[in-house]
Amino acid sequence: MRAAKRVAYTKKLLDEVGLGGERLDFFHIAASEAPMFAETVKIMTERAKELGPNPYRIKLQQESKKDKE
Amino acid sequence: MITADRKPFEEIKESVKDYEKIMVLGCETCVAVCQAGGEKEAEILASELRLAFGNEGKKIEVNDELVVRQCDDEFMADPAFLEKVKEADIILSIACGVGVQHACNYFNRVIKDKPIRVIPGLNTTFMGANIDVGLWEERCLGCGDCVLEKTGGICPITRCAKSLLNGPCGGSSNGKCEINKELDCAWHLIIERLETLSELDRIKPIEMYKDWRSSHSGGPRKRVREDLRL
Repeated sequence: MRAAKRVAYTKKLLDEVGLGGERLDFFHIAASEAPMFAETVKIMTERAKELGPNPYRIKLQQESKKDKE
Repeated sequence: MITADRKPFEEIKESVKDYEKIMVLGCETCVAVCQAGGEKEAEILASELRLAFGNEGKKIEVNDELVVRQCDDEFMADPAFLEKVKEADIILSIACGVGVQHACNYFNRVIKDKPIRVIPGLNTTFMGANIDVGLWEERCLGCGDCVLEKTGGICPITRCAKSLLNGPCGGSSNGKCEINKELDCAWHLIIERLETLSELDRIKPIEMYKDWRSSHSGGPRKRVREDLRL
């Protein structure tokens, strides 16, 4: 499946730039599988909390603050 | 076309880490078709460098530019483009090796007041064909003395691991080469093709040794068309 391959490629790019490929993932969920969708969202939310905010964005915000000061 | 693969990101990052203004220069011809150095790849690489260095707290400026062919003066002669080249500390060219060398020579020839650094972002691989989506295979070594008319359009110089002119060798088994069971035996393919064409007689004469002086073995080659010269 092409989308899965493209997601795998993008995960590699995220790893290369130091943002972490685990921030992105690909799941197969049918329209009728609402509980699985909810479970997957929980998994990704927990993962996002563990990883914390995008480190690059934090640095940019810090730089922007410094510039304003 | 000429095919290429992007160098590992870490290697590219290491090679540009000492510069503040980086220009990623894509090439819109061969390497764009094999999706290694075209517009999209130049944009992705520039973004990756911005993110990677930004993530380390390093301030750099990365721009991406594109020319139709880096192996041709006329596509790089735009004064506005040359001004951007001059402003950059380093040019990270994602053309093939020909493009990298030509861009470097051209920039240093026309820009007199500043030496221009050009480094490669790709590893140039081979002259090949697009066999399937996302698949390229080597088809020509540029030996300078084509034998395809004798071999049913299948090149034994390129596709036979031993470049045999009188094949197959004893390493051919069930149509595959002894160096790799995934690799087709070129001479098996040639005989099959000639059989289909009813031209098996073409390979009856023993081919004598090949004169490799027309290949790179005779040193770097030059092609001159006097009628086109100014």
